[in-house]
Amino acid sequence: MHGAAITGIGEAGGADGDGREHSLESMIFAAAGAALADAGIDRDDLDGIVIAASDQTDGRAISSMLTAGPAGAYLNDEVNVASSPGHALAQAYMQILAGTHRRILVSSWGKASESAGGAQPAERLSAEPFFERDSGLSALAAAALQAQAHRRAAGPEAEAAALAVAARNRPGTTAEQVAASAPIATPLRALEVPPETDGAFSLVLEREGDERPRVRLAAVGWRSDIGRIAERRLDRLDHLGLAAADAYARAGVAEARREIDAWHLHDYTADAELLAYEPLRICPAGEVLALGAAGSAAINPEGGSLRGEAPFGGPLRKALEAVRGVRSGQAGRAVAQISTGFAGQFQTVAVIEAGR
Amino acid sequence: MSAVEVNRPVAAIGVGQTPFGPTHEAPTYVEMLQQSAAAALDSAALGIDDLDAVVLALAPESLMGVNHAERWCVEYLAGRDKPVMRIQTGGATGLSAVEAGYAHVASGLYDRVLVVGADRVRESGDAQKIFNKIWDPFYERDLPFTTITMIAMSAVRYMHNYGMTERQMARVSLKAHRNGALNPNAHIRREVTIEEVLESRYLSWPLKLLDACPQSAGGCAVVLAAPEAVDPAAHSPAWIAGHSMAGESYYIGDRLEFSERGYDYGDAEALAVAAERAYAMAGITDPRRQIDAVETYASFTPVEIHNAEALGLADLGTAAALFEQGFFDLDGEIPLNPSGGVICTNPISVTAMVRFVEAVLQVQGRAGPHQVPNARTAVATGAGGSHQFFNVAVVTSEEPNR
Repeated sequence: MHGAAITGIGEAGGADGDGREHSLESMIFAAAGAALADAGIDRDDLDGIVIAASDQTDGRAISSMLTAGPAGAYLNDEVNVASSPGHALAQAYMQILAGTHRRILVSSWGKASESAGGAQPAERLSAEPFFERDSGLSALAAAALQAQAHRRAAGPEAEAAALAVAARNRPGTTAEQVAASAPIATPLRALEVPPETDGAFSLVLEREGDERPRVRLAAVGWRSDIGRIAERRLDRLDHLGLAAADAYARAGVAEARREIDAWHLHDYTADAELLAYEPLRICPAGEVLALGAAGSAAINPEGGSLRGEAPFGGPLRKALEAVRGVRSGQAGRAVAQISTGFAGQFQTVAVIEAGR
Repeated sequence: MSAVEVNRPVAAIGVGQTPFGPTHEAPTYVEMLQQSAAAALDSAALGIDDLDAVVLALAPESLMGVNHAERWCVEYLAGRDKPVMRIQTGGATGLSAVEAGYAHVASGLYDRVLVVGADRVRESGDAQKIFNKIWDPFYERDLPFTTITMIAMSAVRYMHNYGMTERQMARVSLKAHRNGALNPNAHIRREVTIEEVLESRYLSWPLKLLDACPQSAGGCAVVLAAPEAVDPAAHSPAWIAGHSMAGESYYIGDRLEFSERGYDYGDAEALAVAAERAYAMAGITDPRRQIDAVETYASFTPVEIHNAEALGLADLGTAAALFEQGFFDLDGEIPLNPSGGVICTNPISVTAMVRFVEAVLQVQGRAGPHQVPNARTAVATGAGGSHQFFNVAVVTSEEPNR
């Protein structure tokens, strides 16, 4: 079986929303071009393109018709894994392991400024159509329900822990400022969720050769929960635990807490981040709130996503953050959690490590 | 994908289809998923708990009216806590999903993977009104492009280049409907005459109603497995010997000049590129001699003609005459779309998967009344977007050399 290296990363826009200077396709082109330049290769060197394009987010009936080209796909092998950018990373990883591809460009994106109301109105049409669509369920509403469930199950200290996490993940903000911000969806306040921004993100995966690469994609695991919110345990992320177990087993990680140096976690809300600690084996259940309140330099060391998150494709940025951490030597091994769907229905865990 | 060193081969050990028909007579979307999945699992002698992962084929979600419907579908496919992903490459989706399932198994990560999809093409009204929205809003949408006018323009170009006639197109329709009448799952199951085709109403010149596919509802599923999961007592495996995909430019206006290969918008260059790669992976050097049956994604009769050329079954500009001579008939030299093809059935999300399933049935010898005698190597293709995304899979009865 072949191993996978990550040899290039690139992004346009991102947390600060600078993608508004681009059209959708030029933003994707910029990220893809940056990743290729970072890897020191050209588009002609690729033998596969894997994208994660969301039709509803991009406002196109078949988004990949427009977006696959700027992501490098003209006359090249291409697939659109439309459920999650994490799944796109997993698909590219499998294609490398399978031996069918040597160099793959993985890209995903989200451009909130494409529609005046952002991504939320379209999100409502992805709710289960018979029982839940009419409730007005959206990503924000689902996150709020998850936060309610978490705080109810975790007890009275959960809110303080969540405020502390939110303050850390929104650099320059205090917990008091978060607490004083306007309520938007009980129990969430305005500063507890990220503003929607524009961003595109790309990675180059290559088959490992005889020489060990600088950064390896050691493993990917992904698992799913069901769609209907009413039938889910929103105070738990058991499927994230299964995804992590898959990834750790494939990467040879026996004791995650000791062997992982950095955790780039999904933090659309602080509650979502706190819910990930136990299934990712960052700490036991009984220590989650204390760790959340105290903070850790190993968790979201780039500051988290609360300062801005591109819809749908934005979570792929966690993998880029992990690569940067490994390249810089700050982490020998890092985990990137990529979560999409209402209240984290789809969970992907990538283990990214130094190769030499 | 030259010099492919596949980690391990991948077999299709079970396939399932629902009968296809009009949407107003069909079950709900998730029921069709379940029915086709159950049929595939039955034919693989497996239960749902035997599966390691699920790949969902779901093309434009606006056709059936639920955005990101993969979120809805997980519980109906017993996907809770399992690895589930969704593929969307327009009309090519069904075969792209099979390719994704192939990667699951060939990677060594999973031994048994369900690839499944369904569609209800008229759920949100006439599909052409939705398809008009797939084009760029500033340059091409207002022409107006639909998937009908898109292919009409291609057909006109092919007529100009090679002299194809409407009667030759009608001969393709005659062959398709004759084969479809033999297929118990086909949406359209009646034979037509050349005169009937020529007298049917114009949709967009030179395309007429009987040159065109229907808008179908139905489901399709495949169980893919590693060699270690193939049970010789229970399975008649069909092996994926090669596969690839290639995409054209988004703007049709960018395809109006002849390429270095001699293709233009009247042809299907990206299909030729995908076929070259898939054939190289499968060791096919002489497709006219080595391929026994072809299931190609051709939603209109002129597409079947230029697809035959892109797949290397005829020289550029010669296929229309070969159709007239019966070369691609069920009892011809290389039967093309023995199932009746897309002209008889088009449930878009799974249309390309049906092509793959029919190729599997051919090499298994289980295609029934539309079986090609002694078929050992079959080819399936998909097509999506603005006649833009093309994929090819080569299916064999023999396990590829490791």
